[in-house]
Amino acid sequence: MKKNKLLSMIIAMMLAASMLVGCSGTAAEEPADADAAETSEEDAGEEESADGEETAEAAEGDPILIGVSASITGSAPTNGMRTEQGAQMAVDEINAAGGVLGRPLELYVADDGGVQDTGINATNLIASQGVVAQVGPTLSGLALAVEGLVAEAEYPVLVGATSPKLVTTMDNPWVFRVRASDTIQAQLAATYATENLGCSKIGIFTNSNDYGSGARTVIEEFLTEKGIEFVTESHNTGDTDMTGQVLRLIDAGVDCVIVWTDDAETALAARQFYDLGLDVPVIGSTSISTPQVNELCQPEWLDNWYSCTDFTTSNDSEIVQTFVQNFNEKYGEDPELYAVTYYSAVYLLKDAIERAGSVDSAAIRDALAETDGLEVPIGTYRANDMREMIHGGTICKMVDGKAEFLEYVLVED
Amino acid sequence: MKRIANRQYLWIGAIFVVLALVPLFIDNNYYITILNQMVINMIVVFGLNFITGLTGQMNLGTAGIYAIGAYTSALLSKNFGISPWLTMMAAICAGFLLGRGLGYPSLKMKGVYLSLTTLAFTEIVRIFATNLIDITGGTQGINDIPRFAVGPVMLDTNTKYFYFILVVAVLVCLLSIRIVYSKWGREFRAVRDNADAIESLGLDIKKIKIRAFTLAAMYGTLGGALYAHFNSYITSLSFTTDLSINYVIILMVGGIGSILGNMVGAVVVTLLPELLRFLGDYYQITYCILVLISALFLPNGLVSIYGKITGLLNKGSSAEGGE
Repeated sequence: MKKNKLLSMIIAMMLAASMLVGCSGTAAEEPADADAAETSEEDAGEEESADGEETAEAAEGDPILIGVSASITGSAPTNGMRTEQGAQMAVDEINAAGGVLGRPLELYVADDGGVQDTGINATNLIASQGVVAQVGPTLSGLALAVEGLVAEAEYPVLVGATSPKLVTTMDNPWVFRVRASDTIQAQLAATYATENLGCSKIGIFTNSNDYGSGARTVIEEFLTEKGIEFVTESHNTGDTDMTGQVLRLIDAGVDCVIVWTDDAETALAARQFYDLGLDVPVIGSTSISTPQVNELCQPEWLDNWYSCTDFTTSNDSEIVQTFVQNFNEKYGEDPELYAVTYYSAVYLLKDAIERAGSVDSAAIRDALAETDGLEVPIGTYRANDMREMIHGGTICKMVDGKAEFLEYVLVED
Repeated sequence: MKRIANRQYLWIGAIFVVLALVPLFIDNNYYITILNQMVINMIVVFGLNFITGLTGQMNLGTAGIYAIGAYTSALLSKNFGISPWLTMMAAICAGFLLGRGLGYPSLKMKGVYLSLTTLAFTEIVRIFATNLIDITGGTQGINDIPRFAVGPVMLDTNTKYFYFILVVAVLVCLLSIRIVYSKWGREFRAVRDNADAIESLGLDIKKIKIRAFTLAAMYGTLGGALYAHFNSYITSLSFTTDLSINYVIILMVGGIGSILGNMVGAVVVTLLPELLRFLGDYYQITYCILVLISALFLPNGLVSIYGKITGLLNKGSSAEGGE
């Protein structure tokens, strides 16, 4: 009996010891991982610099570490992959051109899994690596979940989240938004309908969920302020028939419709507008320009459709075309929203660090808040009081069922 | 039997002591956050152990129960400024009502039908939480959920909060042990082992099942409330069926029906995704394979390894006549 007790005690002690060792073991492991990443990146950097030795010197010295929170696993792993690719491409370009303040940039990528707990752990992990700033996460829920952590860790975070709640319910000086919020997108649609298309009676057709109703409030406010007549109709997620609402819009004699809803409902609206003969310009949310939605539609349904979106590769401006071409060369595929968002975000950080003249997180934060007119592929960054960087969006016209770049429109804020 | 129980207590105590010691050596928010998640999972699984572990009724409603605890405490404390102590009590009461209310209709069912009912319950809670935007904030959730104070000590850091929930976990663990080795615990096991025999003794199976379910719901809502105040932010996106399944995995990996197993399961399953981070894209498949292996080769969970090892050791010592 006594012997057994002693044995159990020894085993318990061993367990205790092994757990502690286990913990510190992983702690030691991660920097080692980072080191491995560093050497491989340095190798890559050296190779590139060998190519362009005459033009630029590769950066040397201690790397500046930037955290990336990307959804590499989970329900949307492609988004995470593109996030990483976009950020990595920017880092490689910057390092090949001499780095920032003479030092190379380096990424520390952590998988946020697209879910809250993993996302919190990812940001904590990034914070514990001693980064100067972080890009990501993209999901609004994750951004809201980690904002407290970064306020404690005190380094700036550039999020691609678009929920209006990030602006309305929090005041965190460390969180910057590098994509147009849902409100800006909705404002963009209303601006384009009234100013560019010159419409005078607008139908607003929205989903009753928070995405649709949030946009509806913004559009209504905008139109009321401008004194433009409008009628509103709504539908629910999963509706399979919109005949009643469409007929009421026709009866009201609208000369333009703004449709703000999710993917499947957008495709259904397109079909029923066409079938029931609602033949006016239609401005839709970003979903209509995505391949998964416009492939559900016959091209003729979309004849008079426009789409508000963050980014399109068909934008013919030089900066976008160069980016698209370089991305294609590096990864063999066209970039999409996540790639361009975080590619641009890394350039924003570079710009801010250079203007701050140091890698002190508070100085970078202040420099970020003073950003004014930085041209990047996703648009022009200018910080407002709410730390939002983007104040416009791309309008695409649907041509043969595909979204084609029409123009970049700025909104007032 | 008694000796096994004694040895189990020693291990349980050892795990708690080790957990309590970890923050003394590691002052890193990343690890402290994982510890918090680990202990919260432990509390929830102690509850799930009553219904799924001991009574043998598959319950996939844990995420719904957890969500109700989280929302109850978060909404009451944020919107009405009520002390989180009271709102946590309210969450536990909600768990009690839920256990009773959901127990009566659903526990008439057996096997796969019970699983489906509880699964549906989780989905209903999630859909309500997603769509009652004015109350729950929908998918954008509720932020600024207050942390609370124990007497003069404000639990403002994750380390302080960790020690608080560790104390809660020790208390609910003691309560669990007390229940497991009481008449209730024996009844729970009897339902799992031989339901017909129980009825022949004049006991009401339904009542026993509802009792187990109510206990699970109360532990679950407590865990949910602790989670809400820990993260200060909750969103309906978190409370999916995946979460319910994760708790069943904890139960299974650790050892179904054993309190020590629950603790080991919570430690391993919470740590595993973080330890496997270096695998990147391959993390999920590796994780699934590990869980599958544990289900195939250790159907009684990781705690059964301990039994096997001590079994071997005892073989040696029994030769000396030590047993």
